[in-house]
Amino acid sequence: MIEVRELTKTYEDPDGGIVPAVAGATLTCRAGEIYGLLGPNGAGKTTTLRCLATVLTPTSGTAVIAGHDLLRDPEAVRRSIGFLSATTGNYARLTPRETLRFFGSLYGMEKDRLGARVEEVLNLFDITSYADRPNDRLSTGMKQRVGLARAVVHDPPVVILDEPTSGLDPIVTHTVEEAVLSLARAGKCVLLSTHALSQAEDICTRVGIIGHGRVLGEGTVEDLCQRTGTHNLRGAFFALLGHAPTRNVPPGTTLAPDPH
Amino acid sequence: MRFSIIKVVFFKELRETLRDRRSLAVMFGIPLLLYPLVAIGISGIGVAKLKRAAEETRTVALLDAEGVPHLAKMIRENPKFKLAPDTSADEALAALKDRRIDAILNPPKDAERRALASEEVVISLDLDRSRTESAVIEQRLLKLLGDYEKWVIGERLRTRNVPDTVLRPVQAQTIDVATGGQRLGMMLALMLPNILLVTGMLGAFFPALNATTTEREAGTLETLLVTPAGRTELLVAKGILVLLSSFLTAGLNLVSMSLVLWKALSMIEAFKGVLDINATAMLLTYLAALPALIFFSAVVLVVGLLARNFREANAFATPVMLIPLASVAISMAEPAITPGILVTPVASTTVIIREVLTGHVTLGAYVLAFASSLLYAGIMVSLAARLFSTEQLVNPAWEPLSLKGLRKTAQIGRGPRRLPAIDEALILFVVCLLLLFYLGDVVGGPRLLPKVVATQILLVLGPALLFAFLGRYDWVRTFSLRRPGWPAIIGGVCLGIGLTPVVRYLGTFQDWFWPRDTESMRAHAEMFIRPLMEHPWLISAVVGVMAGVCEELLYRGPIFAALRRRLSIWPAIAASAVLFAAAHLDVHGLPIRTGLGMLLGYLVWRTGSILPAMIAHGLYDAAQLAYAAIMIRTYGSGAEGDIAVANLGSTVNLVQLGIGCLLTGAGLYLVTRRPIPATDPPADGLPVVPAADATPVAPAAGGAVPLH
Repeated sequence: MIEVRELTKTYEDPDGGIVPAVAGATLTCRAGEIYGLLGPNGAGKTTTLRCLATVLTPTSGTAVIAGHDLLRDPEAVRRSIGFLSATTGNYARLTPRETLRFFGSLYGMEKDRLGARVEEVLNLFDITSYADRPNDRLSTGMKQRVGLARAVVHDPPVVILDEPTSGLDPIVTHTVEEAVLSLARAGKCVLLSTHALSQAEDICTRVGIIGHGRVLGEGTVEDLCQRTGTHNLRGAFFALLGHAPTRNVPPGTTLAPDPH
Repeated sequence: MRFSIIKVVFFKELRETLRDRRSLAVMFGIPLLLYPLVAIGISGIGVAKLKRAAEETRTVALLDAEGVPHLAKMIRENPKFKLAPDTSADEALAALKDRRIDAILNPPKDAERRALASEEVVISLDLDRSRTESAVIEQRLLKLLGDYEKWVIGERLRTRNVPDTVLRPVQAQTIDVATGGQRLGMMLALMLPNILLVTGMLGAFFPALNATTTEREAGTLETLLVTPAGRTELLVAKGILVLLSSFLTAGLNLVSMSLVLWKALSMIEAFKGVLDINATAMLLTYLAALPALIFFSAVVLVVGLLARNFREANAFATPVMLIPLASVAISMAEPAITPGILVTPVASTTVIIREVLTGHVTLGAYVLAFASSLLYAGIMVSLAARLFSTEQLVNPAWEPLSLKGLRKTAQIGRGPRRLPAIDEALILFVVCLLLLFYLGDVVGGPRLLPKVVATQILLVLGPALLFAFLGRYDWVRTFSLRRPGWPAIIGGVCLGIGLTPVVRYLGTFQDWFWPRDTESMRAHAEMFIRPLMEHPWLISAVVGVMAGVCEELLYRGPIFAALRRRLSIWPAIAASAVLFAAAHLDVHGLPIRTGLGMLLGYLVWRTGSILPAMIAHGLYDAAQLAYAAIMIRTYGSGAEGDIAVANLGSTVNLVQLGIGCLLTGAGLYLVTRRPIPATDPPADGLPVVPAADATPVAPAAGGAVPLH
């Protein structure tokens, strides 16, 4: 569903030099799986996902999303994806129901189908009880659910989520993760970026570790550990990034108490 | 463009606007409530004060009342006056200052007897003008003294057995042919253009910021950009709402202000029954303002797109809100209707509204003003569209109006060599402009040659070099200090000489529909005539070299280099040309200088070197002055010479024009013979990709990247 080959995005710095934000990222994400793009701050996760969401234009490279070429047919790509990031927001003066209707209309959904779909999504994300309250009067968790609902109201085959649980408390995080899992179970291809190792381990089918604008390694957690000779995702993460981990303890080892 | 998408986005924006109390307060609150309340307040207080002033009895001290018995009698018999008891001059003055009396009449001794004896007598009237009613008191007393004067004249004539009708040979009778609508229109013309533009801009302000800055701040812009809606469709939908808000606010203010003014003035005796609202004039006024409203709505949209947050948007918008105030000054100046005025932004709208309201508008003037305003509106809308297309819009760290470049300049001598940033270039331009404006007349003294040399070196070249030194600019890349090929040099020579008659001819053509102001034309000619008589070739050479070197190093140096980093090549050439032309502080010369500036910018880009542009510019200026020197020799230095120099265009003949065109064509051919050089960085901002690498490349870096 998502195939990215040597995606590159560069910027000009104020002195006229070229800064590569993404330097040849390559990854594949299939239907029904959650692909976790894992990397430190500044690795190029957000830039990669924004390129795939057509918000930014790649400098070079190719990507095919739900069968549509990113550069040749960006509008078809936008029709096929839902996008949510930690920085996207909701319209303060609209209600959740109005928000979903608006975005559904933008995606060309017909009135009858749109009405039914809006109610379905409101139920799916448990928003019905506050569906007619203005968005600026919702809590953070409620707003994030509305954001997720907005991203899938048009039932896209591909969902791109950029750090969707950033800044959320554990309960809301769990709710969002459950929602993401349900999307994958429904057969959607979910590309999710995070810098939380535990989240990648818990919900992602496969993980791609990105650093310095490149995908340094991808696969299941077991594949990555085997490839890097480490015992857990944390070890694999640091190994691929070229940093020595502070601890790399095999599972099941009992730690001796610190004498001091 | 899909109407369905535009409709969906428009109605969403409308719903949000109707739920925004600030927008509603500006759109409806001010016109519907503010004017009537202010008018009621002012009229209530003002009318009551006027009435009181008209009815109140005024106490007047008449010094030496025995000397003017008839005047004293007139005062006593007038119910509006009361004569103060006899008092000394000092006591009367003290009473006047204490406001115990309202005025002092001080005739000289035996004034009445002397006046009747045909002596000229001066009666002084002492008033306290710090009192608001002093005008009413003065008016009444002057009328009283006027009646007293008539009595004295009547007595003088009676003693000579002459009837007093000899004093009234001619009676003047004023008939006002203006209609009531025109009279009211004249009163409205002073403030209405300003009110329309300012309120239109205010009406657009909050919807524009909601559609841009607030969306960026709230993170909802990104959610729109990932939908199938194209950027143009989004901007059209948002723009329509902003425009409607602007139109509605301006329209309501027009109607409200006109009605309130008419009603308020109709309550004043002098205006009762003589004022009318001309509905057709109001409609034409509103129509005339629409392009300007589109322009200012687009300006507010641009402000919203450039600001990172609401606070910044407010800060940017504050100076922008002052632009419509220029219409007040223009209304007061009442300039004559010329094609030049009708194509000047803000001025065109102001004067055409005045003409409409006073019933003197012509179809041609109306159409010209409307079309020119529409053109500027289109340019501003294009700028908004261009900004909306940049992918940096979703980058919260994007600071298009940052002073990062200037901060680097302030590091003075530290850091690697670099290209100037756009903010530095604009500040450099403003610094040079201010230096020219304030010191241009002072620097170099009264003589032309030292003045030109000093101005060019100190006020034009100096700042450019200083900025380059402090900011550690890369000298080669910033000033295009590269050696061009011989064809480019020869091309520059051909252009410099060939353009002389061509531009003169174009100037004559321009003068035909936009005549130059004769006074400024003579003053400009005067500055050169005497020096050209004394040292024709030296003046031509020095002025040519100075302008060619210094102005090119400034306008096609850091300013052009900075603009090229941010814009694609032709907008950068045009922008630097406009700045170059504007810096000469001559509105009439703006079109031709802009054209020349564009040609010079093209030369720098096309050849990769500043030298051909320097040569072309220098030779052009030198040739113009040499031509003027020849005209002076031919026609002399008197009035004929002045006229000849001032009207040099009309002395160009077809042979000269033909040669000029040939040389210009040859010059353009020579400079375009070779491919665009791959300068470092690439001249047009695109990375240089060898032909073998056929990978699709999107424009890198920096400037607006057009999105699908």
